[in-house]
Amino acid sequence: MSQKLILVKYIMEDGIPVDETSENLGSAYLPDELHEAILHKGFYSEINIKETQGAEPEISVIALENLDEVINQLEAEIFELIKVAHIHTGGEVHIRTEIERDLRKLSDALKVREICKVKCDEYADRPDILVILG
Amino acid sequence: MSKNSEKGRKGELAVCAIFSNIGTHERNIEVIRDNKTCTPERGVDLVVFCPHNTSNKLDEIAEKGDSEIGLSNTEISVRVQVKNFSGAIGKATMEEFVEDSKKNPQFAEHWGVGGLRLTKGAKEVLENANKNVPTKWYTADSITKIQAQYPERPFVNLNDETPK
Repeated sequence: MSQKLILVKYIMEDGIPVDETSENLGSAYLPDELHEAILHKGFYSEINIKETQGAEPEISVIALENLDEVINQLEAEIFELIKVAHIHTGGEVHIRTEIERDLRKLSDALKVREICKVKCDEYADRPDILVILG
Repeated sequence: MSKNSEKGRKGELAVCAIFSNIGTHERNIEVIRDNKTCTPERGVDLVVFCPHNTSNKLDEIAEKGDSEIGLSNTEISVRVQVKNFSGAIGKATMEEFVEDSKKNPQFAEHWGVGGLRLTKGAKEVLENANKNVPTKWYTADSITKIQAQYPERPFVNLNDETPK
Protein backbone atom coordinates (compact mmCIF):
# COMPACT_ATOMS: atom_id res chain seq x y z
CA MET A 1 0.00 0.00 0.00
CA SER A 2 1.27 3.45 -0.85
CA GLN A 3 0.95 5.17 2.51
CA LYS A 4 2.09 8.78 2.63
CA LEU A 5 3.01 11.42 5.14
CA ILE A 6 1.35 14.66 4.10
CA LEU A 7 2.14 18.15 5.39
CA VAL A 8 -1.25 19.85 5.29
CA LYS A 9 -2.34 23.42 5.96
CA TYR A 10 -5.95 23.90 7.08
CA ILE A 11 -8.16 26.87 7.77
CA MET A 12 -9.31 26.54 11.37
CA GLU A 13 -12.83 27.08 12.67
CA ASP A 14 -13.16 27.34 16.45
CA GLY A 15 -9.68 25.84 16.72
CA ILE A 16 -10.59 22.80 14.58
CA PRO A 17 -9.16 22.12 11.09
CA VAL A 18 -11.66 22.06 8.20
CA ASP A 19 -11.10 19.30 5.60
CA GLU A 20 -12.44 21.18 2.57
CA THR A 21 -9.99 24.04 3.19
CA SER A 22 -6.91 21.78 3.22
CA GLU A 23 -3.87 22.60 1.13
CA ASN A 24 -1.06 20.07 0.75
CA LEU A 25 2.35 21.68 1.32
CA GLY A 26 4.38 18.52 0.76
CA SER A 27 4.29 14.74 0.95
CA ALA A 28 6.50 11.67 1.07
CA TYR A 29 5.90 7.95 0.63
CA LEU A 30 6.13 6.28 4.01
CA PRO A 31 8.15 3.03 4.08
CA ASP A 32 6.33 0.27 5.94
CA GLU A 33 9.03 -0.09 8.63
CA LEU A 34 8.72 3.59 9.49
CA HIS A 35 4.94 3.37 9.44
CA GLU A 36 5.11 0.46 11.91
CA ALA A 37 7.60 2.31 14.13
CA ILE A 38 5.45 5.46 14.26
CA LEU A 39 2.37 3.44 15.20
CA HIS A 40 4.13 1.07 17.58
CA LYS A 41 5.77 3.90 19.52
CA GLY A 42 2.58 5.96 19.59
CA PHE A 43 4.03 8.98 17.78
CA TYR A 44 0.57 10.05 16.62
CA SER A 45 -2.83 11.16 17.78
CA GLU A 46 -6.20 10.53 16.21
CA ILE A 47 -8.08 13.80 15.88
CA ASN A 48 -11.46 14.69 14.46
CA ILE A 49 -11.66 17.55 11.99
CA LYS A 50 -14.65 19.22 10.34
CA GLU A 51 -15.68 18.17 6.84
CA THR A 52 -16.93 21.67 5.98
CA GLN A 53 -17.22 24.97 7.78
CA GLY A 54 -20.07 24.79 10.29
CA ALA A 55 -20.06 20.98 10.41
CA GLU A 56 -19.44 18.82 13.46
CA PRO A 57 -15.87 17.47 13.77
CA GLU A 58 -16.46 13.90 12.57
CA ILE A 59 -13.67 13.23 10.08
CA SER A 60 -10.93 11.14 11.69
CA VAL A 61 -7.32 12.04 10.86
CA ILE A 62 -4.06 10.51 12.13
CA ALA A 63 -1.66 13.38 12.93
CA LEU A 64 1.98 12.77 13.87
CA GLU A 65 3.23 13.90 17.27
CA ASN A 66 6.63 13.86 19.00
CA LEU A 67 8.23 14.79 15.69
CA ASP A 68 11.65 15.25 17.32
CA GLU A 69 11.51 11.58 18.31
CA VAL A 70 10.31 10.57 14.84
CA ILE A 71 13.25 12.47 13.33
CA ASN A 72 15.69 10.75 15.71
CA GLN A 73 14.26 7.39 14.66
CA LEU A 74 14.49 8.36 11.00
CA GLU A 75 18.09 9.50 11.29
CA ALA A 76 19.09 6.22 12.95
CA GLU A 77 17.38 4.41 10.07
CA ILE A 78 19.10 6.64 7.49
CA PHE A 79 22.55 5.96 8.99
CA GLU A 80 21.85 2.21 8.87
CA LEU A 81 20.80 2.51 5.22
CA ILE A 82 24.03 4.37 4.45
CA LYS A 83 26.04 1.57 6.11
CA VAL A 84 24.22 -1.05 4.03
CA ALA A 85 24.77 0.95 0.85
CA HIS A 86 28.46 1.29 1.76
CA ILE A 87 28.74 -2.50 2.13
CA HIS A 88 27.00 -3.00 -1.24
CA THR A 89 29.36 -0.56 -2.97
CA GLY A 90 32.55 -1.35 -1.05
CA GLY A 91 33.51 -4.51 -2.93
CA GLU A 92 34.55 -5.11 -6.50
CA VAL A 93 31.17 -6.44 -7.58
CA HIS A 94 28.32 -3.94 -7.65
CA ILE A 95 24.85 -5.43 -8.07
CA ARG A 96 22.75 -2.82 -9.78
CA THR A 97 19.40 -3.97 -8.29
CA GLU A 98 20.83 -3.87 -4.74
CA ILE A 99 22.24 -0.39 -5.23
CA GLU A 100 18.96 0.78 -6.77
CA ARG A 101 17.03 -0.58 -3.79
CA ASP A 102 19.45 1.04 -1.31
CA LEU A 103 19.19 4.43 -3.01
CA ARG A 104 15.41 4.26 -3.23
CA LYS A 105 15.06 3.41 0.47
CA LEU A 106 17.47 6.20 1.35
CA SER A 107 15.59 8.66 -0.84
CA ASP A 108 12.23 7.71 0.76
CA ALA A 109 13.62 8.06 4.30
CA LEU A 110 15.22 11.44 3.49
CA LYS A 111 11.95 12.78 2.04
CA VAL A 112 10.01 11.65 5.13
CA ARG A 113 12.63 13.35 7.31
CA GLU A 114 12.32 16.53 5.26
CA ILE A 115 8.53 16.66 5.79
CA CYS A 116 8.99 16.23 9.55
CA LYS A 117 11.81 18.80 9.66
CA VAL A 118 9.74 21.42 7.84
CA LYS A 119 6.93 21.03 10.37
CA CYS A 120 9.41 21.16 13.31
CA ASP A 121 11.58 24.01 12.04
CA GLU A 122 9.07 26.26 10.26
CA TYR A 123 5.62 25.43 11.62
CA ALA A 124 6.19 24.14 15.16
CA ASP A 125 3.78 26.69 16.66
CA ARG A 126 1.17 26.38 13.89
CA PRO A 127 -1.74 24.11 14.94
CA ASP A 128 -3.28 24.73 11.51
CA ILE A 129 -0.39 22.88 9.84
CA LEU A 130 -0.27 19.14 10.52
CA VAL A 131 1.67 16.11 9.35
CA ILE A 132 -0.97 13.45 8.67
CA LEU A 133 -1.06 9.86 7.42
CA GLY A 134 -2.90 9.60 4.14
CA MET B 1 -7.87 6.29 8.45
CA SER B 2 -5.35 3.48 8.29
CA LYS B 3 -3.24 3.45 11.44
CA ASN B 4 -2.28 -0.17 11.00
CA SER B 5 0.00 -1.29 8.20
CA GLU B 6 -1.42 -4.84 8.51
CA LYS B 7 -4.77 -3.36 7.49
CA GLY B 8 -3.09 -1.92 4.43
CA ARG B 9 -1.59 -5.28 3.49
CA LYS B 10 -4.94 -7.06 3.87
CA GLY B 11 -6.77 -4.35 1.93
CA GLU B 12 -4.39 -4.57 -1.00
CA LEU B 13 -4.59 -8.37 -1.12
CA ALA B 14 -8.40 -8.27 -0.88
CA VAL B 15 -8.75 -5.79 -3.75
CA CYS B 16 -6.34 -7.91 -5.80
CA ALA B 17 -8.62 -10.92 -5.15
CA ILE B 18 -11.81 -8.98 -6.01
CA PHE B 19 -10.50 -7.76 -9.38
CA SER B 20 -8.98 -11.18 -10.10
CA ASN B 21 -12.38 -12.73 -9.38
CA ILE B 22 -14.04 -10.35 -11.86
CA GLY B 23 -11.56 -11.81 -14.36
CA THR B 24 -13.12 -15.25 -13.84
CA HIS B 25 -16.48 -13.80 -14.94
CA GLU B 26 -15.39 -11.40 -17.67
CA ARG B 27 -12.94 -11.89 -20.50
CA ASN B 28 -9.72 -9.90 -20.87
CA ILE B 29 -9.22 -8.81 -17.26
CA GLU B 30 -5.79 -9.39 -15.76
CA VAL B 31 -4.42 -8.18 -12.43
CA ILE B 32 -0.72 -7.54 -11.89
CA ARG B 33 1.10 -6.94 -8.61
CA ASP B 34 4.65 -5.74 -9.00
CA ASN B 35 5.70 -5.63 -5.37
CA LYS B 36 4.99 -6.95 -1.90
CA THR B 37 2.33 -4.97 -0.05
CA CYS B 38 4.95 -3.46 2.30
CA THR B 39 6.74 -1.64 -0.53
CA PRO B 40 5.85 1.97 -1.36
CA GLU B 41 4.87 1.53 -5.00
CA ARG B 42 4.71 5.20 -6.00
CA GLY B 43 0.94 4.95 -5.92
CA VAL B 44 0.74 1.84 -8.09
CA ASP B 45 -0.56 -0.87 -5.76
CA LEU B 46 -2.07 -2.96 -8.58
CA VAL B 47 -2.21 -2.76 -12.35
CA VAL B 48 -5.39 -3.98 -14.01
CA PHE B 49 -5.50 -4.70 -17.74
CA CYS B 50 -9.12 -4.59 -18.81
CA PRO B 51 -11.57 -3.51 -21.55
CA HIS B 52 -11.63 0.27 -21.87
CA ASN B 53 -15.23 0.63 -20.65
CA THR B 54 -14.79 -1.52 -17.52
CA SER B 55 -15.02 1.44 -15.14
CA ASN B 56 -18.27 2.56 -16.81
CA LYS B 57 -19.71 -0.85 -15.96
CA LEU B 58 -18.30 -0.79 -12.42
CA ASP B 59 -19.69 2.75 -11.93
CA GLU B 60 -23.15 1.54 -12.95
CA ILE B 61 -22.93 -1.46 -10.61
CA ALA B 62 -21.78 0.84 -7.79
CA GLU B 63 -24.74 3.12 -8.44
CA LYS B 64 -27.56 0.71 -9.33
CA GLY B 65 -26.34 -2.68 -8.12
CA ASP B 66 -26.08 -4.19 -11.61
CA SER B 67 -25.20 -3.35 -15.20
CA GLU B 68 -25.97 -4.65 -18.67
CA ILE B 69 -23.04 -2.82 -20.27
CA GLY B 70 -21.09 -5.19 -22.53
CA LEU B 71 -17.32 -4.93 -22.29
CA SER B 72 -15.36 -3.84 -25.34
CA ASN B 73 -12.41 -5.58 -26.99
CA THR B 74 -10.11 -2.58 -26.60
CA GLU B 75 -7.75 -3.09 -23.68
CA ILE B 76 -6.32 -0.42 -21.40
CA SER B 77 -4.07 -0.46 -18.34
CA VAL B 78 -5.33 0.97 -15.06
CA ARG B 79 -3.44 2.06 -11.95
CA VAL B 80 -5.18 0.95 -8.76
CA GLN B 81 -4.39 2.44 -5.37
CA VAL B 82 -5.85 0.92 -2.21
CA LYS B 83 -6.55 2.84 1.00
CA ASN B 84 -7.97 0.49 3.60
CA PHE B 85 -9.38 3.31 5.74
CA SER B 86 -12.23 2.67 8.16
CA GLY B 87 -13.49 6.26 7.91
CA ALA B 88 -13.89 8.91 5.23
CA ILE B 89 -11.31 9.69 2.56
CA GLY B 90 -10.38 13.35 3.03
CA LYS B 91 -9.34 16.05 0.60
CA ALA B 92 -5.60 15.82 1.42
CA THR B 93 -5.50 12.08 0.71
CA MET B 94 -7.44 12.53 -2.54
CA GLU B 95 -5.06 15.31 -3.64
CA GLU B 96 -2.17 12.86 -3.23
CA PHE B 97 -4.02 10.15 -5.18
CA VAL B 98 -4.48 12.62 -8.04
CA GLU B 99 -0.83 13.74 -7.76
CA ASP B 100 0.21 10.10 -8.18
CA SER B 101 -1.89 9.97 -11.37
CA LYS B 102 0.27 12.75 -12.82
CA LYS B 103 3.41 10.79 -11.87
CA ASN B 104 2.08 7.72 -13.68
CA PRO B 105 0.88 9.02 -17.07
CA GLN B 106 1.45 5.63 -18.70
CA PHE B 107 -1.91 4.46 -17.34
CA ALA B 108 -5.18 5.19 -19.16
CA GLU B 109 -7.25 5.30 -15.97
CA HIS B 110 -6.67 5.62 -12.23
CA TRP B 111 -8.89 3.87 -9.67
CA GLY B 112 -8.80 4.39 -5.93
CA VAL B 113 -10.40 1.88 -3.58
CA GLY B 114 -11.28 2.26 0.09
CA GLY B 115 -12.90 4.32 2.81
CA LEU B 116 -16.53 4.41 3.82
CA ARG B 117 -17.17 7.60 1.87
CA LEU B 118 -15.49 10.66 0.38
CA THR B 119 -15.62 14.06 2.05
CA LYS B 120 -17.05 17.00 0.08
CA GLY B 121 -13.53 18.32 -0.53
CA ALA B 122 -12.31 14.91 -1.72
CA LYS B 123 -15.27 14.61 -4.15
CA GLU B 124 -14.45 18.00 -5.67
CA VAL B 125 -10.79 17.04 -6.17
CA LEU B 126 -11.87 13.75 -7.81
CA GLU B 127 -14.39 15.47 -10.11
CA ASN B 128 -11.78 17.98 -11.29
CA ALA B 129 -9.20 15.23 -11.93
CA ASN B 130 -11.77 13.20 -13.86
CA LYS B 131 -12.09 16.05 -16.39
CA ASN B 132 -8.50 15.39 -17.53
CA VAL B 133 -8.11 11.61 -17.24
CA PRO B 134 -10.62 8.97 -16.09
CA THR B 135 -10.11 8.96 -12.31
CA LYS B 136 -12.51 6.92 -10.19
CA TRP B 137 -12.91 6.06 -6.53
CA TYR B 138 -14.72 2.96 -5.26
CA THR B 139 -15.69 3.13 -1.57
CA ALA B 140 -16.42 0.09 0.61
CA ASP B 141 -20.11 0.29 -0.32
CA SER B 142 -19.33 0.34 -4.06
CA ILE B 143 -16.97 -2.62 -3.67
CA THR B 144 -19.67 -4.57 -1.79
CA LYS B 145 -22.06 -4.07 -4.72
CA ILE B 146 -19.35 -5.08 -7.22
CA GLN B 147 -18.61 -8.22 -5.19
CA ALA B 148 -22.33 -9.09 -5.14
CA GLN B 149 -22.46 -8.74 -8.93
CA TYR B 150 -19.38 -10.94 -9.35
CA PRO B 151 -19.65 -13.66 -6.67
CA GLU B 152 -16.64 -15.85 -6.02
CA ARG B 153 -16.70 -18.98 -8.17
CA PRO B 154 -15.76 -22.31 -6.58
CA PHE B 155 -12.53 -23.55 -8.16
CA VAL B 156 -14.10 -26.90 -9.14
CA ASN B 157 -16.78 -25.06 -11.16
CA LEU B 158 -14.53 -22.54 -12.87
CA ASN B 159 -14.83 -24.22 -16.26
CA ASP B 160 -18.60 -24.77 -16.14
CA GLU B 161 -19.39 -21.48 -17.86
CA THR B 162 -17.62 -19.54 -20.50
CA PRO B 163 -16.72 -16.06 -19.19
CA LYS B 164 -18.97 -13.26 -20.46
